Amino acid sequence: MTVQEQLRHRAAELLADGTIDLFVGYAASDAPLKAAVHVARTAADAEMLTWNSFCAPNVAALLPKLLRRPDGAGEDWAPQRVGILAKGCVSRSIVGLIKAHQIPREAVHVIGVGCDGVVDRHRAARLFTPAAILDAEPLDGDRMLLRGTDGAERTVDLSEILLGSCLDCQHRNAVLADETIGDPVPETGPGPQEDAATSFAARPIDERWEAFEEEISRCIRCYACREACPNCYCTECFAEETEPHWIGVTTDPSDLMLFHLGRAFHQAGRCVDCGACVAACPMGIDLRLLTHKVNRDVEALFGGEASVSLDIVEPLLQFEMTDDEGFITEP
Amino acid sequence: MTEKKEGTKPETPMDARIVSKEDLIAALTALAQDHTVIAPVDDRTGAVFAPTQDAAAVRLEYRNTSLSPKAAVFPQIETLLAFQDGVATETLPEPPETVLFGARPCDARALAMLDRVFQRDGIDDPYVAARRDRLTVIALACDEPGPACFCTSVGGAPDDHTGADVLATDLGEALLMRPVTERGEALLAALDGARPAEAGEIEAAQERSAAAAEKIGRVPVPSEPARLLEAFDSEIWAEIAAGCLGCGACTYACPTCHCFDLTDEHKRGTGRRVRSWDTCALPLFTLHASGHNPRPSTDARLRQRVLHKFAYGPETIDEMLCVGCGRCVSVCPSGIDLRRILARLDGCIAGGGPG
Repeated sequence: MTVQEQLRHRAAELLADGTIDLFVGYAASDAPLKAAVHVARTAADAEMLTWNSFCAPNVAALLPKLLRRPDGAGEDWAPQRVGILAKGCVSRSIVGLIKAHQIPREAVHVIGVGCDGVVDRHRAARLFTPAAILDAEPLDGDRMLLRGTDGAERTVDLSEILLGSCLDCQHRNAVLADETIGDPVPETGPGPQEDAATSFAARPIDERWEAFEEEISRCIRCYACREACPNCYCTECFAEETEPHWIGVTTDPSDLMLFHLGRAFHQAGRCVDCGACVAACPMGIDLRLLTHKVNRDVEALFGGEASVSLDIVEPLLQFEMTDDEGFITEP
Repeated sequence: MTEKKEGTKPETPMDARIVSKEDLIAALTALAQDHTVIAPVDDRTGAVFAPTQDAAAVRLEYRNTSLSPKAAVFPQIETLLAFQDGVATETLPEPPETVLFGARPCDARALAMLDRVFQRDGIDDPYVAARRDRLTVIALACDEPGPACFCTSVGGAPDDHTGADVLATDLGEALLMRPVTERGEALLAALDGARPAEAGEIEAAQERSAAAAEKIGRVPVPSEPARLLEAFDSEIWAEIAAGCLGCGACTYACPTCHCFDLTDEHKRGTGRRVRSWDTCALPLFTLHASGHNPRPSTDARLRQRVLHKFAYGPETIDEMLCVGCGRCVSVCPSGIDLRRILARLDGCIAGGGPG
């Protein structure tokens, strides 16, 4: 059985035997280079599940909404049981959500799957500009055949079109799973973002500020990055709070900066670098410019990676009486 | 089902002109001296509509941009009032004469829909009108439709001239430019190097557009919009919206979405009232001060978006508020596809009522 066949088979079984009420994964999309987030409730729904290199969304983002206790729920309320397909980053997000008490461990049944990375549609599209990509066909040996609206065909190495996060990924297999499908994929070392981040950090501060300003000037405040992110589970975001009104509604530089800096700081020590925000952004903003930096800062200051195990409490989630308080300034 | 914008005149091939690409760039350069020229230019997402001084940077070959050019009349952020020491003053825009070059026919048609939205019930939104009155639209017919295009299913066409003042067709070396309105006629009359088009050239343009139309997939679009309301309480919305993450990408990318919010930004009587694009996809959209939200779920919010386009649009402006540009399909982070939703609704209604 292929991995996809195993996936459909197991999801259908779990739904049928009552282990789960619904299964969250991906289905094929009619649009090129994309997969649709898919919620299966029946065996027929499970037949639509798919697993390929277009499965960019982090489906863990659905879990807090699916498992949140509704307002006014009684004593006898119990969460649904949710099955979920978890590539490495999705499994890390699940670990993070469990530790942040956003989802109960027992409510999720995780099917782990090894991942070779997913396609960045913006990156792929740039290979065809000014034409658009009409369709894409995976080939053997980590290659893909792309067809353009202009009739052109081009075979590319996956490394040319994968999300930056995937090129840097060090957790391709699920770190938490109730069962796995397919063979584990080999883990690889840090990728190109390390060099990009190092050379970015080496630039003078005014150049970095200018680059940051230019990058976020593309933002249209659609909040796709936020909604696509499993860490953004707040029921009310600081960006939309009206009392106090932290941030204006406009696309003026000050509002955009506040939103993106606020978002990045809230990711510190929690971001699993899944790239879902980058994949979601309709404007092609490099959101990792900031999240990668805060990840590395937390690692350098406190050690450890976010959400790789249920047994480790992340540095910014713990408190000890002996913590250094030297950063607190006198009033 | 849809009617052409009033005030446009029927195509008169006699007026069509041929302009070489060099002359076109020269003309746009000349226009940029005393006009704002908004045109598709290179971007990391393909192309974007942006004011440009450099006509040589204007793209003639591009697929639908991530964002439509609706901001030319309805900018994302607009100051409506200025407050100074407790006194409010209207800040009506006084934009320069503007040429929007290269809008695809779907986007031009969307501008005509926005006209009807913002000039309804005897109220003419003066902020939108100020821009629209000074806007000349040169639409560029499609010859390579994108993978998500479905204009022909919603009353459009690769060479539709609705909403445009001039319709241009790329013939390779040169463009065929057809005036649609008097404003377009005036613009073409002043165009250096233009010559009258020959019958063969007009035919060639028609053939190109017909070939483009052939490539566009068909989508079943509700023929009786009112019947969509039969599906209002259907369970299919929960299924359709199951993967919806609840961001506003589809609405901001949409050329016809036009909802806005008003925010007062002021301190001690000084500040401004800002109009900003709003989106029915976010929970705050209809959140009442009481805390009650009539659209409390993503299901209800996605339903609103679909029904506004396909049921309420026909009721209020006699047209579906969708031009089939496919942007919502392209930008959706979770792969929700309006074409599939329409097919689903079609099945639901055709199948004897809501499922």
